[in-house]
Amino acid sequence: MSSPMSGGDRQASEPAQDGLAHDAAPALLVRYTSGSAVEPPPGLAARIVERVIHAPLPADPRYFVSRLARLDGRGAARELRYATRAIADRRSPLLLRLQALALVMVVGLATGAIGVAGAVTVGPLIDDLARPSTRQADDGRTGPGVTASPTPRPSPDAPAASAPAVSGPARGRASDRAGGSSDRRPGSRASVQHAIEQSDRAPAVQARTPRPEPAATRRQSASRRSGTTSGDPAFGMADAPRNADGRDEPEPRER
Amino acid sequence: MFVDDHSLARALAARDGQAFRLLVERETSYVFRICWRILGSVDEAEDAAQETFMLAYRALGTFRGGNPRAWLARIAARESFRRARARSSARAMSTPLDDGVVATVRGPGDPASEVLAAEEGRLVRRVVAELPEPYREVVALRYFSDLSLADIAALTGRPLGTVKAQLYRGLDRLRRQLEEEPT
Repeated sequence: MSSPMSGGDRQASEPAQDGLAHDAAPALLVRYTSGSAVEPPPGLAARIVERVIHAPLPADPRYFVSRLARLDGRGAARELRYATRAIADRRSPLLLRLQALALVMVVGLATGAIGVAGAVTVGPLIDDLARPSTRQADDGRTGPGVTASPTPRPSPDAPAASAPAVSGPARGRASDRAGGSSDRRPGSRASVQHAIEQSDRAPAVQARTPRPEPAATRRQSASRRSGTTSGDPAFGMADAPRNADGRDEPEPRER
Repeated sequence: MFVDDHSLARALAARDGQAFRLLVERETSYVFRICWRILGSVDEAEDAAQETFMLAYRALGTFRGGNPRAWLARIAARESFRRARARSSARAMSTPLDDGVVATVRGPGDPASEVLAAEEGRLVRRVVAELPEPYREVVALRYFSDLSLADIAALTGRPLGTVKAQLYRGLDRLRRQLEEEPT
């Protein structure tokens, strides 16, 4: 072994322009190393040999698990790298290679499973976020006075002739009407939903469209004109005779 | 059995357990000395030396021949610097004074010079540990591990001229840091 001051230190021994000489640092290092002639504690080699003998195989999955348990990402990645290398190393014992292969396969499968689960969980959420009209319609459907029904969502390709066009700002109210009005037919809800989706597709055109009269109001007007109202028969309001002002007609007096 | 480093290296590369046992018995003092020079504590140096051999045993698959002593020295230096970095900031690169004095084998001298030597050792350890890579590695391998520049070049896979330049720049940075230290 060569002396620590030989070799590449020649460049460092040039005189410095200011401050410490260039050879001050090497001199300090040499003084330090020459003064630190320490001996290891007795029995250290035997302890190391004992520890190595009883150590698990180099690509043992326990190393990887212990790194994961300590949340040591870098260490875990290094263990995985060791295992990958051990698989490819033909000099490694068969057991070691099998262990390494099992570890890499388990980690790969676990990573894939986590990825698929994440995609399945997050995918619909992202889809919902990307379709705000559908979400709002859902909110309206589950509003007060509405019972959950397994009515399928209308297809965007379905004909839109049965529903009036609803402008963009009226979407929330339309959904409220769909849920809270006296018209509870599933077909009507579907038609409103479809109209909402249509309004999302062409907002510029529908913004100019005058807001149509709601279905319930239309029916009320029609009943006023005909002198009848279509209420809930359960409350005894069906076909109650009304006058032209919409008030109930007084019953004829008995004579 | 293993008459020279070459045959030992071949046996190690073939994962020969007997060869590794021989390597441990032969190089424990050397590895312990490197760890002590970087860490400055007997207990920590012992732990680092054990860990060095464990890491070497696990990394036998990556050993592609060459000088096994230099290979061990690099692992020991890395492990020791890692431990030095992991110390708490309060204890960073500081050593119990008596630990350094006891571990340093000196002739019978006055206590004042021993204390000064321990203080100087602490300063050296700290400024070397503060060097950036790759200067720290080259300086540590050159001075703490007593490796030749050719060995360092072969070990790190860098050209000899690069190693020389890195050593020069590392020593220059070391000198600047020493200048900034309050005397």
